[in-house]
Amino acid sequence: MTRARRYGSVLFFLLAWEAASQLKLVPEFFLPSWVSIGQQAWVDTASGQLPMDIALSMFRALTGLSMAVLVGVPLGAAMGRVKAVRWFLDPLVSIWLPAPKVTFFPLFVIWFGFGSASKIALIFVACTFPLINMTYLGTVGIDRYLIWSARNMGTGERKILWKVVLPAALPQIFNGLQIAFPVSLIVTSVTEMLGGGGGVGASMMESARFALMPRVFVYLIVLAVVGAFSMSLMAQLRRLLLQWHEEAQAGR
Amino acid sequence: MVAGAGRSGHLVGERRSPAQVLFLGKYSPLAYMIAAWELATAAGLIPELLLPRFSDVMAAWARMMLSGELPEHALSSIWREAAGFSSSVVFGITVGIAMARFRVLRDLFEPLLRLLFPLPKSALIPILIVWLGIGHLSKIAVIFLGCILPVIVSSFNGARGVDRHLVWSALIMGTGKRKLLWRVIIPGALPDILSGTRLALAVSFVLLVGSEMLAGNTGLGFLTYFLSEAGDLAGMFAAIFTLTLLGFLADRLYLRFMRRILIWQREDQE
Repeated sequence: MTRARRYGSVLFFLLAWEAASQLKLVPEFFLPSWVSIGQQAWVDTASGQLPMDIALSMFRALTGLSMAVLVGVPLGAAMGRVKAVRWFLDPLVSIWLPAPKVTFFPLFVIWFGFGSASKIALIFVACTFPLINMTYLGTVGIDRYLIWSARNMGTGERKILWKVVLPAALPQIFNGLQIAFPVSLIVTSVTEMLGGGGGVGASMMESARFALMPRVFVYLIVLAVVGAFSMSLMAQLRRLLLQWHEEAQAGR
Repeated sequence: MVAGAGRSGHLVGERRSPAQVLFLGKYSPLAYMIAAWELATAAGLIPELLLPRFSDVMAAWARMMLSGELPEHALSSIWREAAGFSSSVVFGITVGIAMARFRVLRDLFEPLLRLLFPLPKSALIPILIVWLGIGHLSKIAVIFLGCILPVIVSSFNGARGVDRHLVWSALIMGTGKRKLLWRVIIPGALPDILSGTRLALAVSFVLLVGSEMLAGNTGLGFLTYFLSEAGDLAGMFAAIFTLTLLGFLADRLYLRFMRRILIWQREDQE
C-alpha cells in the first residue's frame, strides 16, 4: 500500500475537522480549528510552559515506573521461586491487581501532600502490580530442565537466578513493562488533573475549566505523541534486549 | 490466585489440620494484614489522622450501607461502568471484525487507530466534560471511547488470525456467509477478543473513578473525594473498599465467563 493511501483517511479526517471548524458548522468552542491549535502550541512552546509541563510529567511517570521496576520485579521473582513469599503475596496481588488504584489518590494526598510525592507514589503502586504479576508468571513457568542442568553442572543458586531464571523470565517482564508504561502515563495525567501542581494533566484540566479549547487539544496531542513515542521505544528496547530469544528469531 | 497461574495446587500439602487452614489458608495473609492494621492503629503506632482503625472503617461501611448512601453512589457508578463498557464491547467487536473482513474499512480505520491507540485514554476526560457536561453522559462516553480501541484492535487481530484453512474448508462445504461469521470467525477470534476486553475492563475502572472524581456529584469516585475533603477518613476508606471490591468482583466474574466460553479451546490445547 502506498503511503498516500495509507494515510488518506487521516488526512481526510483532519481536513473535515478543519472545514467543519472554519465554516462554523461546529462551534469553535467544541472543535477548535487546526490553525488556532497550531498557534496555541507555538505560544505555549515559546513561553516555555509546554516543555516544562512535559518534562515535569515525564519526571513523575518515569520516577514512579522505575521505582515500580525496582520493587515489582524482585518481588515477582521471589514469588515465583520462594513458596512462603508466594503464599503471602498471592492473595494480596490478586485483590490489588484489578483494583482501580486512582481511588487511593485522596488518601495519598493526605499522606504525602499535594506535590509530586503523592503522584509518584500512586504511579509506583499502580505500576508495581502488573510488574509483580508478569514477573511471577515468567519465573514460575521456566523450563525445569534448564535449572536442573545448570545445577548439575555446578552452578550456584545465585548464578542460577541471574543467568537462568531472570533471562528466561525477561520476555514476560517486558510484557509487564509494556503494560505498566501506559498505566504510568494514565495515572500521571489523572493525578495531575485531580491534584494540580503543574504537568500536562494539570494544564489540560485548567485549560478545560477556563474553556481554552485550543490549548486542551494541544495537550491532548502532546499526550498522544508521548504515548506513541514511549510505546515504540519499548518495542525497540524489547527487540534489542531479546535478540537471543526465540520470539526474535521467529520474526526473521 | 494470580490470573493465569494455573492450577498450581495447594502449598500446604494434602492433609491439613483445621489450624493449618486457619493460619496458612489461601486468603489468610489478608487476615494478617488486617490484624496488623488494626493493632498498629489501636496501639497508636500510626496516628488515626493518617490511617483510621479497620474496625472504624467497617463501622462506617455498615452505617453508609444502611443509610443508603453507599448503595446509591455505587449504583450510579455501576450504571456508568456497565453502559460504557458493554457498548464499547458490542461496538468494538463489530468494528474490529468488519475491519478484518472488508478491505475498505481496514484502509479507512487502521491509520486512525494507529494514531489514537497510544493516547493515554485519560486525556479524553477534560474534553468530554466540556463537551457533554458533568452528568452520566460524559463518564459513559469516557469509558466507551477509552475501552473501544483495545477491543477493536484485539478483535481485528483475532479475526485476521483465524486459520485460513478453517475458513476455506467451511466455504468448500457450502457454509453461508452468515454462518461462516458466527460459526468460524467469531469463535476463532474469541481468545484474542476476550483478552483485549479484559484489558479494557481494567482501564474502564480507572477512567470511571478519575472522571467521577473530576466532575459531578454522584458515584463512588466522587464519594471518595468528597469524604476525603470533609475529613471523614473512615468513610473514605469505606468508599475505597467498595470500589476495590467492585473491581475485584468484575475481574473475577469476567475470568469465570472467559473460562466458560473458552472451554473448548483449553481442552484443545491440553
